[in-house]
Order: sequence, then C-alpha cells, then structure tokens
Amino acid sequence: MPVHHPDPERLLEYAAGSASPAMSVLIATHLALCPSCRKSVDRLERMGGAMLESLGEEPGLAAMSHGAFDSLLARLDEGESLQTVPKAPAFDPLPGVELPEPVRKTLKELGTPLQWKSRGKGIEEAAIPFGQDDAEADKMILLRIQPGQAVLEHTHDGGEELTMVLSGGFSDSSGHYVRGDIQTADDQVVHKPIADEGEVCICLAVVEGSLRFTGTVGRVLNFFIRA
Amino acid sequence: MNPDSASVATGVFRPCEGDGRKTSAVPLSYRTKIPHVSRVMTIVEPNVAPEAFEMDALLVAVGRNRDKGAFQRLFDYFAPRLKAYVMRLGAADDQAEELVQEAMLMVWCRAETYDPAQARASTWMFTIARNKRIDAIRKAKRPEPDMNDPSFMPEEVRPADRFVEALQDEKQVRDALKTLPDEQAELIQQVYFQDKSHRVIAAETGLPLGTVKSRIRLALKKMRLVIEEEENAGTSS
Repeated sequence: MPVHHPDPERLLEYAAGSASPAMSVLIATHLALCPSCRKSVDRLERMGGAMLESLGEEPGLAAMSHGAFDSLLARLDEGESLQTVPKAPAFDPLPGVELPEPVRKTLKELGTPLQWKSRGKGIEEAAIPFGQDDAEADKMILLRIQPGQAVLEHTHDGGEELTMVLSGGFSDSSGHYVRGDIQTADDQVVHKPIADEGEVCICLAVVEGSLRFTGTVGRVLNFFIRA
Repeated sequence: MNPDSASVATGVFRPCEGDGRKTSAVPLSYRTKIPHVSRVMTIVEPNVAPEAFEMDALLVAVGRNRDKGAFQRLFDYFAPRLKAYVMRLGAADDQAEELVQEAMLMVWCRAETYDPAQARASTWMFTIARNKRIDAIRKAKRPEPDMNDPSFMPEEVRPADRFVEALQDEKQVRDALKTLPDEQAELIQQVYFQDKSHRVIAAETGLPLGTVKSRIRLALKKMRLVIEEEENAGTSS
C-alpha cells in the first residue's frame, strides 16, 4: 500500500470536481492503489452530498421549469435500453507495467504511441497532452528512469509537481517512493531523486501550469463554451 | 468528444447507453459489497434525518422496481437542488435544466447499482451531478478508479467497519460544517461550488498559498474528512 499520499487539498479538489483534468487522472490512479485515500474521498463526497442537501435550506432554490419531469419521462420512454458496455480491447502502451485503469484509459485516448524524448543520461519523458494545451493547463508527463540513475538536482518553478511511481522506485532526501506513492515538490524543494537499482522506474507526473487570473466572472463566462 | 458532452449541445441523449465506463460513473461502487442493505433501512440513528433514509429507500425502489412514482419523488426533491448546484458552478438556466435532466436519466439507469449501505442518496446524487457537469465541459470523462481493474488494490476492512463508516451521515457532516470558522467554511464552499482549486483561491484572494492550504487542512481535520496518519497506522497492518 502506498505510504506517500497526495496532500489533503488534492483529495478535496478531486472529490469536489475542481481538480484539473491532468490532476484528476493522477489522483484517480493513486486511488486505484490506495484504499486509505479512497476512504478519504468517500468522506469528502459525503460532504458534497451534505452540501447538496444544504442548498435546499436556502431561499431562492432553483425551481425546475414546468413540465420538466414529464419531458424527462418522455426521454426515458423513447430511449430506454440497458446496454452493456463492450469490453475494451487490450491496450498495452507500456509493456511490463501494470497500469491502473485511469492512466491506462488516458494513454489509450491519446491515440498515438508515446513519444519518448531523452532528458539526459538514462532519463526519458513523454508528454501526455490533454484537450487544453497552453501555459495555464496542468501538464502530464511520463518519466522513464534507468535503474540507479540520478536525476539532476533540480527545483520547481511556480506550481507544484506531483510525481507518482507506477513501477520501480526512487529515493531522495524526502524518502523512498514505490508504486502508488506520490511525491509533491514545490519551488521550496531542491531534490535529486535516484532510481532504485535493478528495475526501470516509470513515473506519472503532473506539473501545475501557470495560474489563470481570470477571476470569477471570466470563469463563469467561459464555463460552458466547450459544451 | 464523448457522447455525453455532445449531448449538451445537440440535445441528443441515449439513456442507459454505455458511456465507456461500467462502474466508474457510479460513485462509491468500487467498495466492497456488503449484505447490510435491509439493516440500514431499519436502524434509526438519532442524528440522521428521517428524510435521508426516505430518499435512500426511493432510490432503491427505482433500482429494484423501476418505480416511476418513487422516481418522481426523487426528482421533486433533488432536481431543484441539483439545478442550484450546477448554476452556482456557472451554468445558465437552460444548461442547468439540461444537466439535471441528464443526471436524472443517469440516476434512472444506474439506480440498480445504488447501495444504501455505502452512501446516502444525496451523496450518490452529488457524485452523479458532479461527473455529468465535468463530462459536459471537458473532453475526457472524469477519471475514477474502477474496482474491476486488475490493478485495483482492494481494501482490507471488516464489513462491520464499513457499516459504521457509512452511518456517519451527511446530516452530521452538514452540522459539522456549520461549526467551522467562516474563513474555513468559505474555502470549502468555493472548492465545491465555485470550481476553484486552493491555488486559484490564493491567487484571487491574495492570501499566501500556505495560509489557504492550512485553513483547508484545519477544516478537513476538524470534520474528520480525511484519513489521518494515526488512523492509517491503525488499519494498515
């Protein structure tokens, strides 16, 4: 079981639905491997339920339009069919690594083979683009580090970087990280991770993008543009 | 573009159709099934509002009997709340109505998988509406762990533990929320109802990131909403 967990606010944002797409994949992948954090997310979702209930106590509750239920019934009657989801075909973008479903699905939807690029001796990374691909978006990358290889001492500008081990392991001054463990690094952290001997280390990392300063109004206006 | 997100724009919706995830759209579904359904319905907890169980029972009736009367009562109770929820998050009135309709169709289709031993109806509804909203505005489906995933690490708990956990009710959570200092409660509200991360809140309010984080952590700790290290140490052996 993982011993290095995401920060509580990451779990909160995942449960509330305000985590970015890339961060959500990372957290969901951790959850697949971590019963303890799943329990936390359950509790946080319960708070979502409680807050949904509490909306009923407030004046000016948003009434549904007249006839809304009838039109819902009409939609049920016109299209109801309980179809089963076809089993997904085998997909193995990283042979030898058992990928938890959230990240496997993300790689599958990428639709192209991973583009590994060298980042120095024994270290490669592959970017995993999401829909929104600009400086503001959180970035997701896969890292592949050869056994015993040290990553150059580095720091992180701006936002945080969350690195989760998918296979193998690495160590730095903050501890030893194996499958499912998440390391959170920010600009205060200067570290020099070293991959464990004997096994290639594969990690999924999310780097926070630059902040958008659009403010509430901008966010509300942009909200349904994609829909 | 997935079928669900397209449907907001086109109005075409195929209820109960496979959307690429078997269980993951259904919250809490990844937990161990335990045979306590009937007990939950009969136990009276002093701190649990009776209507909470009523809604659970209605949801079970929809799942088991395709009971449209029960479905209507669920709709009457939850639809305005769901609409208020997505409107707070920025949906216009007509978009909110559509999202609620889609969420309720999803409820109809998935009600069979609802287990009152694992969650109150309101939590189940919350997670469905949350996912619908995210799916509508994003390209990719909201990722969730899937208990059928070979990588999935099951929880080692005795069913009795799970049962007790499930009874920590939304009502109690709601009461606890009211005891938080305003500055903490406000942060929680913003994360759930305004789609903001702690980082965005810090940038918008000008508060140091560390202050926002510590306020959130204080609130979560006070409400016992995240598993603490000590709890972990006690159960992980």
